[in-house]
Amino acid sequence: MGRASETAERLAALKREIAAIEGRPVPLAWTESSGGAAGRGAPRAAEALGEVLAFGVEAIDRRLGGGGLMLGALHEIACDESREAGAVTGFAAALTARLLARRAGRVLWIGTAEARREAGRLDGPGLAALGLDPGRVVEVEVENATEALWAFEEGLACRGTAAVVAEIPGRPAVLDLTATRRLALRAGGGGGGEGERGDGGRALGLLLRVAGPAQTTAAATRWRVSAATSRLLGGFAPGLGNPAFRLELEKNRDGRLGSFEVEWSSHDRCFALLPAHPGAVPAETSDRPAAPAGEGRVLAFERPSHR
Amino acid sequence: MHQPLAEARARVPTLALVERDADGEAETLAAVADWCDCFTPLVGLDADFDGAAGLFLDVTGAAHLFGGEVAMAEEVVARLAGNGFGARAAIAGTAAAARAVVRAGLGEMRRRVVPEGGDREAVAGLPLAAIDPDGGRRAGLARLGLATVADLLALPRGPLARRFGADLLARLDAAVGRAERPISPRVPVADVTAERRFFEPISTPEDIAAVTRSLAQAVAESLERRGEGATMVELALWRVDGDVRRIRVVAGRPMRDPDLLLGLFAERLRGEEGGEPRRHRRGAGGDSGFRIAYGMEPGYGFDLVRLSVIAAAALDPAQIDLSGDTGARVAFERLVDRLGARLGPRRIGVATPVDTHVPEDAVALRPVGAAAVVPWDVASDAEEPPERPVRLFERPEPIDTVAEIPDGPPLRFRWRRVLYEVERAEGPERIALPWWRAPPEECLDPARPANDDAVAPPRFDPAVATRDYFRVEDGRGRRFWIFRAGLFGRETIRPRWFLHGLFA
Repeated sequence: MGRASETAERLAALKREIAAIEGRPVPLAWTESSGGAAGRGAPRAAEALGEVLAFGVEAIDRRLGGGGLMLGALHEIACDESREAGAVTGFAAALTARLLARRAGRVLWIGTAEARREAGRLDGPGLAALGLDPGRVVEVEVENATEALWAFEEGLACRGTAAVVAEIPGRPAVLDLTATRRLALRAGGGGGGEGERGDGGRALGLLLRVAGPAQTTAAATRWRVSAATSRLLGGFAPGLGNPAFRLELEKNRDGRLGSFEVEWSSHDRCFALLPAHPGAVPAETSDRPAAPAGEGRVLAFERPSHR
Repeated sequence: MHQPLAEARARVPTLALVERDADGEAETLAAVADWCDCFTPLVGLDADFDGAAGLFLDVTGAAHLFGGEVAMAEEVVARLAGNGFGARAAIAGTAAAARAVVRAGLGEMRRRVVPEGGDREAVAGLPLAAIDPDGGRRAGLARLGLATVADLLALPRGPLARRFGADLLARLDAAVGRAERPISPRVPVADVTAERRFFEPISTPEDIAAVTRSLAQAVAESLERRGEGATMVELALWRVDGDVRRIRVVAGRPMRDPDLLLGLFAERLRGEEGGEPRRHRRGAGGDSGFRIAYGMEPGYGFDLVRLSVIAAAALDPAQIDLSGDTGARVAFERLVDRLGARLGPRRIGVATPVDTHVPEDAVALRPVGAAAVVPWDVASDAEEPPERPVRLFERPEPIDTVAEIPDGPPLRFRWRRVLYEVERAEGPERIALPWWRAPPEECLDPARPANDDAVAPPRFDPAVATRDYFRVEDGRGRRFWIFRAGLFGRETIRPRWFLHGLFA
């Protein structure tokens, strides 16, 4: 360890401090400056501080400021059609399961009546099969988007929640930029809530928008999720493999965009990139990216924007 | 007295007939009973005498608040008259004696107070109609020359009971104070209450808020003395025009902080208004109290406000500690209380496993505090992808399928008007539904032909048919949980298919 590395470490520490004051995540590049080995450890350090939730997949974490989904922020998980609700729910459950494996607290899962009608209710055994303990999930059934937003805000303000998930399908009028900005502020511990949240671990706010349009929100990231063909397990045709998702990072306040195919291992609670050609059955060519998800490439998928 | 309708019509041809509205009467009586709560918390309905309903008020220990029993009886009658109800009241040593006096012993009086120990004398002279609603039995007694309570009291008990039933003796004993028949209260009597009456009704939000707050303070103090916290609290307000507004809130964890209590009431009222989410202001409790008052519709004002603790539980001093992990847990429980106060406590819960194979019944939503008794088996098998969907439809949705073989998975299916090609499938997982779920006639008459097709096999009910579940994946990776209802060949030759859930 020479003087240079010490200086770099101090510099990185100062930058982290400034970022903390500004309430922003720490870009990975700053922590990487202290050398290869330390750079590898850096995202885990940020995670240990309870600031981010890492995917554990370097290709994804690298694109997110701070090396993972920022806690104390609002993230949007969207899909185009309600038949993809399973993928959206599964992805949210997977993220939540990862979070709960790392910290205490419970999850508030809010669903509107429309969400339950359109895509069914949350199923306990299904959540457990994804690695999320339903005993730590408190389900809240609300009538409409207005109630959902209220409950969402209350949940984010409370310091006993590790994550708050709200399913608000469609495009209700109340869910606009102002509303989401409020949620984002609340998630960040701002707005003088009664939650006495302070530094004691910020909640992850997930807004699930099934069949939701791409509209301007104050979310830190937006993921457009659809199902991906699962990988065969042990070559036994024609069974189903682990849950697989096609993630499109559509919006990212602190980094680059990208598109990934990942699979979720429920037992280990970890994501892994799918190989470029999963399994024996390729997806339809019209729907697949021509090349494996590349650096910062944005792929245009069809979306019913004309609705 | 009783006159047949035909005779009455013959005499007065223009007679207007109105059918008796029994439900309406019961409702009104319940409302009056509710209102009478302002005299004593223990109010019971007297439904024994059909067609002439009455109320029991247990005024033990309450009369002195109104200046004695006579004054109280007067006030009850006068205030009911003020609300448009003609009422007659009697106070006696037992409920049955008082009732007997009201039924038959008042004459022209509106109220009568039987002096202490005078029950027997007061009731003895009354006709039997005062204690026995059974007209047939009364006629039988009259044939024997028995017309008053005193006549019965003079007879030996044994033959009387044999001839006219033990019930008559029980009524007799209750009326003369030999036996106590407890009043069953309409609403459970609260453990702790605090109330305030006003000569001049209050109506401004500020006043109501201030009163509620001071009541909450009083309740908190007496709870503290008992070492308890409230888990269910009711705020009741008597409006001058006789309307009683009751607001009840439930707390998951015993509590007694007046501010928290006010906060729950405020949440509850906001929920009723359907108000939009507002900026949460910390503020002193006065803010939330203020909100309570705005939801009240005070009209001409309230003249009595009461805060009662319906249910309480021991409040462990350790739970008051707000540091660290406990603090977070308490914060979360308060969050659940707030949500429950506004949305209704039943809409918040934790899924707990139920011991059944029927997928739609395999989960019950339990209240947050009570849950976590049965642990879930969380992804214990490393090799196995999820076997249950993450979203489950409450009612399985019918799908059209094309299958290769009758008991295999479908090749393609149509759900919500969209065609899906099945690329991969796993199954079947056979789930037999409990036969007792079938509607009885389906069981008794299995040979009944189907409605649409005369040659169809015995009609089978998909609700009880054996299900074969398949996990299928379409070409784009969407995973569904579908099932075939009915065993091919045994239960039906035309099984129906349903989609029951969505996998991640």
